Amino acid sequence: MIARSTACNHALKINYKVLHRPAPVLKINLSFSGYPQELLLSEPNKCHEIGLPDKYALVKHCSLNVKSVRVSLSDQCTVQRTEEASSPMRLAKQWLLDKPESEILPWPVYNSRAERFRFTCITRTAVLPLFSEHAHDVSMMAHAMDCVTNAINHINPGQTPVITGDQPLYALLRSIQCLQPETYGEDQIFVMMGSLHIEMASLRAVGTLLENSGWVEALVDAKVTTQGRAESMLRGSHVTRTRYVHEVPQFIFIHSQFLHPLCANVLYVSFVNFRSQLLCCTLCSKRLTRFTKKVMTRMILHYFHLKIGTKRNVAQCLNLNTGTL
Amino acid sequence: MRLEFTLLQLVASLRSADFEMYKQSLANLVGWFFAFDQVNYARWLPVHIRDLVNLDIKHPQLAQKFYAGCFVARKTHRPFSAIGIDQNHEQINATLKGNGGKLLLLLLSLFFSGFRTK
Repeated sequence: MIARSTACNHALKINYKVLHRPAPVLKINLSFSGYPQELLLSEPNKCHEIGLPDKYALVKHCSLNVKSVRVSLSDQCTVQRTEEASSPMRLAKQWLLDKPESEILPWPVYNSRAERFRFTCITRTAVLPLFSEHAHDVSMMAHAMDCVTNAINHINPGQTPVITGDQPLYALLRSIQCLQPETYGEDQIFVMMGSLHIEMASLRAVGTLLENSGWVEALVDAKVTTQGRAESMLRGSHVTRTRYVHEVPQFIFIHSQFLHPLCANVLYVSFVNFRSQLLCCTLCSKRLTRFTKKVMTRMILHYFHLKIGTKRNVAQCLNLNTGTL
Repeated sequence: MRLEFTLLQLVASLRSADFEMYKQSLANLVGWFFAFDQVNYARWLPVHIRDLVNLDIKHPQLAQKFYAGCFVARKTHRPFSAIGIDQNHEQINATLKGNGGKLLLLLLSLFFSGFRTK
């Protein structure tokens, strides 16, 4: 069973995955004021009205100084270095060189066809009754760990509970674990940091790098997206959209590096200037029309005063006549 | 460029439920959080990586399930479509908040339950 408390207020949700045996049907009542008193998640016609037990509904007060936590060192703390076979660059190269140029598949399609594992089970998800307390409260988090442990012991006895939270909640949960090892120790509950929020933080890091580099202008000029959306991509607020817009130019760059040495030369000529590199990446995109490529090429030559040899290379890469530039 | 590909490696590890690649991508990524001054992630991500690395020793059964791909959530049978658990929760949040919200879901469930019992 895997569970997580959301960062938003008034919410405690549990997401369970059966690891050993099928889970029984959850029958849950809601008890907020003014609302009907029963809700059944999976079988509405067999709903039984049961009251929430006190050990679930009552949040015990818990006062811990979580700011003075020091995580103890571990003897087994060895991180294996990335193997060469599974390094990010190697994987990208494998994707590009695995197929002929005419049959290059989009990155998700290629990975879906090459996926080694085939899963048939779908994760079961349920929502437990909501709390009115703040999620970032120490008492609430300790109570959430209790609730998750009780639920796990009910659904799948003997399994170690796993709780996932975003970074602030993870820090809180991990601090509670360090301060109360007897009750919530590492041996009893496993706490994970949310992978989506790690990805969002990484996208923000990339956005920090790309800020004021001309990346937004390149996307807007290439008519990939609008100004506001391009700026929001720097902050990684919309994860899927931001990832798409990072996938296209980066893989086009690596594609040109491996398969079109001429184009790679053009990119490396202006490699120092990050702005022109990004413009070139966007320029080589197959999604762009011929007119947009011409406009973008003129913009690059105008902004960065590239040499004539580079100008020819750009034109040859884009199959354009040098005179039109 | 290396950061971008490390990020895509993280995404690929989640989509394909590859736990080993997930650990390696986090190990590759953590240095960038120090470089970009993201203090909280720089502090707590190494703790998380340490927990993941020590999972084989502390919780062998759990590690076995994680290696089998149970550290992510799956909403469909399609390959390369697994999502993180917190992303699954965010999508539940959106379901509960949108299109009438949880009150509409509640009323619908009550309506259908009453309809069936009659």
